[in-house]
Amino acid sequence: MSAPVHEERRIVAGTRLRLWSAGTGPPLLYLHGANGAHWLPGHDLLAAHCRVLLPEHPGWGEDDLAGGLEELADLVYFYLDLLDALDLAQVHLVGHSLGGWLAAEIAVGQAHRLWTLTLVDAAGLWLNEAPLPDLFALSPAEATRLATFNPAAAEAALAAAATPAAQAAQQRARAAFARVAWNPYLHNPRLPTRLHRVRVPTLLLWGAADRVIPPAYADAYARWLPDARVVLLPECGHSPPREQPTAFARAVLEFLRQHAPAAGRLA
Amino acid sequence: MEFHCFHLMPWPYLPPDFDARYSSAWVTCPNALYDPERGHALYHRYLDELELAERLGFDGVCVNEHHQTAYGLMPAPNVIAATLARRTQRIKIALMGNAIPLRDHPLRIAEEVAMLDVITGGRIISGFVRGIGCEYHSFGVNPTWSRERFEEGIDLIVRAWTEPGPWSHWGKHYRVRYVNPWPRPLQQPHPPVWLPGTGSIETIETAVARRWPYVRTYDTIDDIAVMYDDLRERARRQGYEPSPDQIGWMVPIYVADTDAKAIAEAGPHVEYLFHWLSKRPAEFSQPPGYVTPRSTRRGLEVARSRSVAELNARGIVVFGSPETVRQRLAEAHRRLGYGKLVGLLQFGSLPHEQTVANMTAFAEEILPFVRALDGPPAPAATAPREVPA
Repeated sequence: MSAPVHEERRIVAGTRLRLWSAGTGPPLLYLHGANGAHWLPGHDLLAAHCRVLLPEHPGWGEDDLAGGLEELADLVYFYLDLLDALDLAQVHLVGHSLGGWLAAEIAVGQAHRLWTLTLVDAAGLWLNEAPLPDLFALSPAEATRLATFNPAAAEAALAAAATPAAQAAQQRARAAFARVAWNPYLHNPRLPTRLHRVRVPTLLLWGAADRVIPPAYADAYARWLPDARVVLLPECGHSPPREQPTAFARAVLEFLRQHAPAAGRLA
Repeated sequence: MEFHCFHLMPWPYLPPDFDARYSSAWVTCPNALYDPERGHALYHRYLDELELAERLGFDGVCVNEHHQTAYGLMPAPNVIAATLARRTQRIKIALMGNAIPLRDHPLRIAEEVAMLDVITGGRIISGFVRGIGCEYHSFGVNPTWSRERFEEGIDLIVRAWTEPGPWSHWGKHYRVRYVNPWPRPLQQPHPPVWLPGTGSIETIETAVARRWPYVRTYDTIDDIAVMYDDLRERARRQGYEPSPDQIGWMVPIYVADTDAKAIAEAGPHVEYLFHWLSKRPAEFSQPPGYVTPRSTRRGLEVARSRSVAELNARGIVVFGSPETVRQRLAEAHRRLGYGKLVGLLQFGSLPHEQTVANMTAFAEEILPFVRALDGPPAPAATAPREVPA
């Protein structure tokens, strides 16, 4: 039995924000990837043990960031505003894909606001020896197929996204994605020199078969981060909370149980 | 009425299996398909055609900017214009580039166009374009900033031409403490500016606000008519009636003895343009954020899968006997009110001899008629300027 999901809209630092939440216990802020905010089965499983907060990045949905979205740092500061608005001194921070890059940038600047950091198939880095595919050159269908381990699951996701409303939302999300990630492509060249500042327990949770941001990037993060461990999920592509929700939630919860400081301990 | 001869300088030697083997003539089309030896001869052939335009009495030639594509071999339109500058004496040279947002700095464009204007004795028409979506892939320029960089770049260039320097520009995309370009343009207050476009509302708004000619490329005559009615309406809301000078129409034209011969002779070559040279996935031509939601992107995509007969029937091209071409240009003039006709007289794989025949037939059979479409003849073209020995 999963906890009921609460959806609300609130104003944060002048920006209208759409926010989903469920569960009780220590807060876990989940930052979604470039495709937009989706409450997935993996989030339900986390919400059985903590209070999951899933905001929609301003610029992705109907609402724009006050002051404009010009670079990823604008979202970094917005989410610091959100922590203040929710009166959250510390959280468990989880970011997926583009949201993982965002989480890493927040952690670099504000590690003291985090109990733990979890990067899931995260963007943010560039490896010349493992160049990332160009998502902007792929149709949404091609990108979904590339991102998904199980071909049948990819087709099901595409069928679900075939409505005009979903496609209009996707177009908006792609423009916001391009704004922050076109060039440098999905990364900040200066991030590696800053990751040593993230002195909190970090989980690098990756789909073993991720072809969008391959596991070589988990290893790269592990090299730069002071307290990180890598967990690979078998038979999983770029989106663990969608593709392997049980294994995803189990890995996150196990990490939190082992490494959360007392204040952020799971219920 | 002005007539300008447009050239794209396409690569006409794509292999016979191009369509089967390659998904795009842009961005990723392997440049191994370009042969510099043949390219050498091709540039000289195409430049000969542009120089012929002057001898045939056309008002202008238009050079063009596209990048990393078989579609057109003029990534640097100012270079092509420079080769024409001293080989021609009278004809206007219209730069249907420069793609401002793709350049690191608009002042470089202000300088180069001013150089060309001074060298040619004031024969330059400065087009400003954004570049098509594909080019944001090819250059790595963020397409979501395209519009802002375009508008700010135009503003900076026009001010650089007209406001005595040095002064400072503190913009969003460009910041320069000392704006003071040498040389300044010869034409005053600055060379005429055209905005070529494929229908983005924002570009039309800029043309209306600045009262600059808007030159519409490739679309059905019905859709272009709707677009120009809209442009006129926008101008009226700003308190003026646009003159025909502000209405430009770019269209492929081919003249032969009979309608059937025109279709037969030009058909394969224009299909090469629309089917092969224009081939690219939508993700290349429409990168995210390049077009605002309120602007629809049509342009080349409307022509992609059509046969030459259908292209001709819809007015995307004007092919036929002299009488047919005259009547269709007159009909289009009634509907569009254009005062600048920009004819693409070489297109796709159209060979040199056919191009010369087409240009000559146009000059002899069509041009006198076109010049009379909007009443008394235009003032004489620029007199040749003395060039010191």
